[in-house]
Amino acid sequence: MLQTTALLVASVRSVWRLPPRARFALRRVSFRQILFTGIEAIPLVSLVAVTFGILVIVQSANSLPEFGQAEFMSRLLVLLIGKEFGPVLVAFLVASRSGAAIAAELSTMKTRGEIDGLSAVGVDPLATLVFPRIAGVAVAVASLTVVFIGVAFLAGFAFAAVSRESLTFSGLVFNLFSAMTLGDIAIAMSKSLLFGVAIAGFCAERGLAAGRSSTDVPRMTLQAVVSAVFACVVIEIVVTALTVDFGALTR
Amino acid sequence: MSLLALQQATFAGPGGCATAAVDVDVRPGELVVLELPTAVPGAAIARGSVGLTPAVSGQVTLFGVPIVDNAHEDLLKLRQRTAISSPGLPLLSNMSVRENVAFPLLMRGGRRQDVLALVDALLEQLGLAQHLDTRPEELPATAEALARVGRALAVPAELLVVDHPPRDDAVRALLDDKRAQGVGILVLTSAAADVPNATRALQLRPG
Repeated sequence: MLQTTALLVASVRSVWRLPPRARFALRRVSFRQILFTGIEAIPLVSLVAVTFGILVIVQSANSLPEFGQAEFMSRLLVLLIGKEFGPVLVAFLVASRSGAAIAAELSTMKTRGEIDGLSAVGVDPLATLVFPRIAGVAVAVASLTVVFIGVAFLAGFAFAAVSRESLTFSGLVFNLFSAMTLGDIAIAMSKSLLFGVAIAGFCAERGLAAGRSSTDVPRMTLQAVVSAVFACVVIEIVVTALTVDFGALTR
Repeated sequence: MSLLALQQATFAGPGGCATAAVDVDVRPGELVVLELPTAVPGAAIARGSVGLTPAVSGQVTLFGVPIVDNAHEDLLKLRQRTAISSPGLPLLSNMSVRENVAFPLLMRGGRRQDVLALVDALLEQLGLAQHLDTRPEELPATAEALARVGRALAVPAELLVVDHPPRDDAVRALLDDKRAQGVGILVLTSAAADVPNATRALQLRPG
């Protein structure tokens, strides 16, 4: 954790030291990262979102009226899909897909000596290889979270409205927006950005820690994904602890 | 003042063996050739001269600064005044030859159009005009070596370290140009005769 934090701080400082034209030139690396991590992951994220959305909404629509809590369904869906599970599921998908790719790419470059080759001509690898990836993944995770939440709700509401006469699509959507607060959106987006930074940071750190042996590549890739997932879980626990009113549990 | 001074410096080579002790200093406008025995890897000395690999013993001084556990930022400032070409420091495999050679100049804040024009002219001089958009792993070995040297030559460095440069007239001419501009050059080679215009030629004896 400390090494990753140090890497993140060092990479931000490295980019800050670059001339403005150089920083502008690095945007292509970030855009490529957003394309790979974000755009190309939309089908996978959407598939998971459809499945999750239908399951949660249908189960809620079936179970909550039994307990006389139907009016709380919208608020529960906002919390479950929008604020908690949505960002976390997207983070896990990105960690296993893009995080592994970042770790594998950087560890291969390290093993082959390409990173030292850059240093040998005065190019800072932290500024040129690490920071653009962190920025790209953070933007991609936040964007994918929006996609996940939107698709999950749309799919779930559509399924619920078709399968139950008492529910209408427009009614569900209206209740959803009524139950959603700005705080929920802020927390979901903040978590997503933190997840993105953590995933790219841990995976870049493990990638750069590779030695000269080719067996380091799969080993570091595996460590990277495990570390990134663990970091996301810790972030989720910390943010929840800071934002949930635990006093309400005892009332 | 010496740009680079290696005083009884030994470096770890493949398998952990240390190179023989190296004693060499390079001043501005000098082209120093260090002839190495076959068993001594030039890459270890090239890497050690800019702190990519710590010296096992002895001292390395770069632009008057001893290289001993230096902070990342301090080393980076020193490395921005150097350029190294070595088979142990390959080009980036996810970029073309042109992008590889242009990248250090773009990261120094050069205008893209000016940088690409300069790079294209340099690569043409090295006979790589038909390989501009080729990835390094697709190049023949000689062309890849020329591209590596091209990346080091493109950088506006005060010190140039070239490990086993290809035997090419264009490379010799470009090294001469650099020396005339006041750049200090250290060439590591197994045949000093390949670098006829050296200011000084030294021989490293196995020890």
